[in-house]
Amino acid sequence: MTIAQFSGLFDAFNARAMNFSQVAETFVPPSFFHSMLKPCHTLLVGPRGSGKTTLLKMMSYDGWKCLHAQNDTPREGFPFIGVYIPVDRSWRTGLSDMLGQSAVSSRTSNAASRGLVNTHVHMALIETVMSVVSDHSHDAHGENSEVEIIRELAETWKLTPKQSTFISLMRELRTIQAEVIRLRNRALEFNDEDAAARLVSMDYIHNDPIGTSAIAIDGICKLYGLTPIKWALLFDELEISPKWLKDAAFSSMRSINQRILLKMSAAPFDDDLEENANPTAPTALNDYETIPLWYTTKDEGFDFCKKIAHNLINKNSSILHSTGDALGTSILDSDAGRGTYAPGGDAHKRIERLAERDATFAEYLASLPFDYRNLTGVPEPMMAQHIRKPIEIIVFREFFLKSRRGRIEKRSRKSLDIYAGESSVYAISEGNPRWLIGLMNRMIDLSNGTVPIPHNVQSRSILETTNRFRALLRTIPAPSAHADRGLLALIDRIGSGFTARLLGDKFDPEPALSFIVPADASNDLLDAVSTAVRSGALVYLPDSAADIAIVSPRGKRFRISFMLAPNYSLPLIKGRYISLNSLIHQRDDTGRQLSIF
Amino acid sequence: MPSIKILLVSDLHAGSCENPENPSSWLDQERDSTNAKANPVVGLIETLNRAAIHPDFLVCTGDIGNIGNPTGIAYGWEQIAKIRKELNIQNIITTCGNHDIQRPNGQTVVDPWAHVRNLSPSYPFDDIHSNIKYFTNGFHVANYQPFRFIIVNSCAFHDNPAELERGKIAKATIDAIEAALQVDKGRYCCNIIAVHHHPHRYAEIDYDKDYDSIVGGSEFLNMLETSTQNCLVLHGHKHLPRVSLGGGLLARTVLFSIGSLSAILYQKLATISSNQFYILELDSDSIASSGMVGDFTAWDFQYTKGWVPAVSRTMKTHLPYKGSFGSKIDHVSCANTINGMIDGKRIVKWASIIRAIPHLRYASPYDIEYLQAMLTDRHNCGIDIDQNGRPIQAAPGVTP
Repeated sequence: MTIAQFSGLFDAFNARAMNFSQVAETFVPPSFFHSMLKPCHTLLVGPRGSGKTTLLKMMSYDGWKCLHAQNDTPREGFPFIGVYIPVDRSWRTGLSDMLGQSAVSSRTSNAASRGLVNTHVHMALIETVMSVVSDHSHDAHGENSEVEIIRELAETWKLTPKQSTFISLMRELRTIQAEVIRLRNRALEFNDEDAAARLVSMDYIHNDPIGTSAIAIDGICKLYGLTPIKWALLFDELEISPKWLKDAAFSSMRSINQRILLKMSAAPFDDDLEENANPTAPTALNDYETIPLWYTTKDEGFDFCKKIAHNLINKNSSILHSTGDALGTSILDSDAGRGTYAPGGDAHKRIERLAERDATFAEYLASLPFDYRNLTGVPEPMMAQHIRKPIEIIVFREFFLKSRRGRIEKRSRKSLDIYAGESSVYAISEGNPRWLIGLMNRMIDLSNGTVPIPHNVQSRSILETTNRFRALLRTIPAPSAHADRGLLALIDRIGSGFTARLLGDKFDPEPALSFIVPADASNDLLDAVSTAVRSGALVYLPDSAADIAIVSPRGKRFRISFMLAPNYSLPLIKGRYISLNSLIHQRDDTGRQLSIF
Repeated sequence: MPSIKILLVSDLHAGSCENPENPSSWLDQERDSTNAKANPVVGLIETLNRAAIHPDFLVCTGDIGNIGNPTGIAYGWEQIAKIRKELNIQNIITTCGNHDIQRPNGQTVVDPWAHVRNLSPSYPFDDIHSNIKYFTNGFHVANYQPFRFIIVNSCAFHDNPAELERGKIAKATIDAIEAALQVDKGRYCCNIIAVHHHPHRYAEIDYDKDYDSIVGGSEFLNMLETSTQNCLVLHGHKHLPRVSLGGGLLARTVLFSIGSLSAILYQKLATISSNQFYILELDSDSIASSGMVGDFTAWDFQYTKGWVPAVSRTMKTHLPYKGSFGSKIDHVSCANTINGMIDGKRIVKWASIIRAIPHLRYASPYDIEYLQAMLTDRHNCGIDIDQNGRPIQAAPGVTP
């Protein structure tokens, strides 16, 4: 299962289909944007919709120009000249099913892949060069430089453009691209051996796309006097590129000249990036910096989401509204001030109500070294440990549980206002701009643009969005051996496992809400978890920056996406962790173990 | 009216076909789609409105219907009227095509023109007097000083079944047109002739079968060229987009062959051309100083995509998005001059070349293509042409 096989949620907000100017118009720089601009190789890792394309487009030369034109600020301090290279699925056509192919087919697919990568990379580079030259070249002999560089490139790249101009070179590259596709199709679909031989014999396709781009950049910088400036090749969606390109890109991080930076975006847990398998390969925090594009806790993405929400709320409004006014406070923010724990305060009331209906919670309170009815004098560390920390669990149990004949049971809730309010809305979006925009736009539509947006409207929009996300997940097949069950079966099993622990008979102040993938997990399970992370259904929780693994989920910790939390009545925290095995392996009435993997 | 914009359409072949498996046109009263990507008329209106292009004239060179079917002809004429109304075009110039005349179909047709004369709105002109002149004399003159339109009926003999397969202009009609051209000739910068059939043979598609050009076409072109006036001939019929100089003794009349607006092209033609419509821009000052020159913009129709800027492909059977016509070029001396400017090492912008060789301003797409080939073959240099078909610059080849 690859990320390419399912469509993204809310594709209307997909930056891939937008031009630089459109992306710049709505761009909100995340807190780590400056880290991305550092003069070092960078790997941006994030699931679908996490803003990888937007960020790379804004780091490109033309994107940067649009961004600064939009903000009406000077373009000084340009960190590098970025060449945006969208990875194309056609680069791996025929490569994915090479097992069982004849040697001729395999050679053809490889040759075509290399030809297409080279033409795409070189065209992206030349387009950027044309833009740079038209902005920087005040040299009266600029056109002579163009003739000179094209002659040099033609020789290095093994090309024969009709004229020594960038335009002619672009035309030549387009012609080669069309020729590569034509020969590949003839060779693979009609077993045309002559076409296969002609394809393989094309000198140009055997170029190293990154190395030859570096040579071109060197020449261009010298001729146009751009020597101090660094360049960055910005590969977007590396996960859908062929493995040979991933290998080349990672090995280039060590060998490429200092002028060239590689900044690439990838989905987490890509089997092809087996960096650990190769001891000479570059490693994270050494040759490149890895930047995760997701937030592990709900507070991390708050400021970024707030800016996006502010723009959306005020897009068509003549009066400027604050996001706080528009979305209101979340019930889950009830630990905001100590007043809420005083008698009559919201948290205090909830504690009392739960204690009345949940005997196990009452036992918990009785075991505390202070009287919960008078929390005002309780020392802060004690308060934090026993009340503030579990408050979200208390609020959820109070909201979802009722007492019936001395026993507690889950009550059905039509309205899920518990998920409404500013901080919760942002948390549910996971800081994923595409999700947040989709969610906010729906709320604004349903409330007809009025502010504040009522909590019942917010919770309705959230539920709709959650259901849309589930519908998308339903279309994603599970790993090959269990294709009939679908990925959603795994997510549901995990989600309901957490629900049972949160809303079970016994109050647990720190229930398990995240899991670790066991070291002995089957390949099917590993694939399923990887796919779920790439689709955004699961969120990876690295222990540290050095642990932003992109290779295997084995031994790593995950939680369910907050976007799915309303479906399982889960709070927006990561909680304690347990082994994935204990969630997905259940026993039937006879004690027989049931497993979906 | 020192400069004008003309919307050029031709050969709609509108109407439901008797054989639904093999429809003749994207315009069909049965489908009557309102989708701009499927209906060429809806799409054309939307395209020009979006581009804020406001034509002064609508010229249609015939074949509004198909094989003389009165229902289709009426529907096609409705579509022309719709274009005119929606785009608020003041003036309309129309001429008959061979498909607009009722076919005998084994029976005697007493008056094959009857149904077109009874069309509403009035056909082909707004007033009955002009219509009478057109049908009686075989041509009509419409004055829009400094531009003059001569609308010629090349189907005037089609009441005779033996003449149905070709166009014809009688010698007497040519003489009458010649006389008409002399009237107030100093007041007009050019004569724009609208006629359905092509005045001389085109061999691009039907190398040995192009029998349907105008009988008397050569004489007609000779007459135009010896009139000492600037003439532009707009014609349809072949569904073959093309602009060229020539046909007559001096090869100075411009022949603009209009592609079909909406006929479903047969396979051979569809592979080398497409449905097109055009905006022609004529400027009386430029014509006064440079002869019969002008610029055009062309759009291609792609079913499900609608009208898109015409793609650049072989110039012999297709017109690019942007182009000009009318310059008489000495390709050899132009190539020598351009090569001198390049001097083996310089990229020379097309604007600089135009300053050095002003008459290249109105070089046609074929002239540019030919010049490009000549520069490559003889001088190791060439011309960069943009995706719209316009030359951008000339530059040396890659080997010094």
